[in-house]
Amino acid sequence: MGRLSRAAGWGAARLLPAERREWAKAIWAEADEIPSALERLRWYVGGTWLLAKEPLMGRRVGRCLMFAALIAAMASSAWGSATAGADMWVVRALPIATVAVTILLALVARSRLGAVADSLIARTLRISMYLAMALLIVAVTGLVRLTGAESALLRLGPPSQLSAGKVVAWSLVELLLAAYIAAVLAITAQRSRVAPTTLVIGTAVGIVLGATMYAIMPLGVWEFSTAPWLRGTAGDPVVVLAWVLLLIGPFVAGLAAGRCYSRPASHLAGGSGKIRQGIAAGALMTIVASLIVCVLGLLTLAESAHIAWLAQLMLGGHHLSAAADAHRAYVLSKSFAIGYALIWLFFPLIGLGMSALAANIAWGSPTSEQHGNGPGGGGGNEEGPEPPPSPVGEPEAGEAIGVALELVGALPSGT
Amino acid sequence: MTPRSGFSRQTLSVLAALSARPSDWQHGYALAKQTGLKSGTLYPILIRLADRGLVEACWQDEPQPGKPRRHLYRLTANGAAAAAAALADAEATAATASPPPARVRPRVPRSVTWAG
Repeated sequence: MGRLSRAAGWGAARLLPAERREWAKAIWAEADEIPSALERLRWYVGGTWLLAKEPLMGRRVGRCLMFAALIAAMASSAWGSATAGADMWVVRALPIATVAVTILLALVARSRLGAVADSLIARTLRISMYLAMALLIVAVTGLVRLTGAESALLRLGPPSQLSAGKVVAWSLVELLLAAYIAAVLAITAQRSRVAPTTLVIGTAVGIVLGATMYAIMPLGVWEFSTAPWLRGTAGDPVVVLAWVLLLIGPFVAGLAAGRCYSRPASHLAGGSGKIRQGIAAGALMTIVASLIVCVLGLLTLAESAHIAWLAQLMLGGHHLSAAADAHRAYVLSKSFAIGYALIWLFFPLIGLGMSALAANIAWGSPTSEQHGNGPGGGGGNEEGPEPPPSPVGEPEAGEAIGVALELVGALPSGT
Repeated sequence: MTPRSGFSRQTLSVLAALSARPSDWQHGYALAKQTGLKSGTLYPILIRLADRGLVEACWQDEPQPGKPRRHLYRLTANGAAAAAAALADAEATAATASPPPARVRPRVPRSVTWAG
């Protein structure tokens, strides 16, 4: 019991800020000297109360509980019900691999870029990303169960008989998930130099695009709307809106983020800082939209084959078995994989490209490099003498690409 | 009633316990027994005093076999001076404070009515 309580105390101490950790360990170590068990228990209670009162404790404990709940949800989905067969081990391997990749990327991000930025929007984005990944895993495992026995791709067979093509396919799936996780971790880190207003702009426009696209295709990506509330030509204006948001949204988000950015005195010259914010906003916007479309869409597909009211809502009067048959046929088709793969792969690229274009147009000229201004007008409250020209010369399109690569961690900061 | 030094009664009791043996390192449990304070009260006081530079803390060099190292505390030079001043101030405050005289209110019989 003594070892257990000591281990619990030392574990709880790890949740405290570094300057308070020694004190927590001191309280727990002192308990060993107390002869009476009741008095020792009172001592532990007092120490626990002290830990609980620490300002960051609630947040840290909440974070631990949230992660535990997400892992429990994924485990329940993967292990909770019988799989279609002994060779459907991908249902269990995918959550394990995703959790391992997430932990690894979080540790790498923390060591290179620091902890999460101290803003509500950054913390909310990270938590939302973890939640989205967990829901995605739940949805994918649900779809694998729905179709697994009939899908050549999903039915992997025993590990010793894996084909190279299937290994590559599932590795690419995991790689895409890792790329999204890494991008959000990088953008929301302390040393990423992405301003909170940039995060807000990117997230807000991304939510609008994601919600618009989900409204069109809640049951998968087709050439036409799959929404029961947008039949026939009723969906055409919404489709047009979605295309406009997809192509123009990153452009506008990039300009807005750069416009709102007022650089700290010791930071990059005005143009480079605004370019960075613009690209970050555009990339974030399409990442958020892509996650909303894919997570909600796949969840709707998976769950409307099990939940009667959802099947009723989405498929209008069809029974669950009919819904399951329809979904199975779709998920087994090439349209399913191609549609979602296109969204996952190309949305962030469109976001990066359009926002880089906007940022370069606005702040990529020598004039804008000196003053931090552009067609969008002056940015921030810059007063005082004109800063000297950047020693690296006028920024070019290559700088915008360099900033984009730096944001996703392909280059060290400050390159 | 908080003395003029600004330290609470509990803090003054901790300062008094540390001042009794200013050059000796003392353990947390020993301070708790001397002051009668629980761990949830004692340690925040020690933390605040350490943050203000009045108390210094260190880990025991040679712990007993099979037991973890203990945390030790003693007053710094500033802490000893502040403790002496605070304790003297508290004594003076306790000595001079006296309850106010009771005020006797005249009883007015119920039959008496005031002239309007």
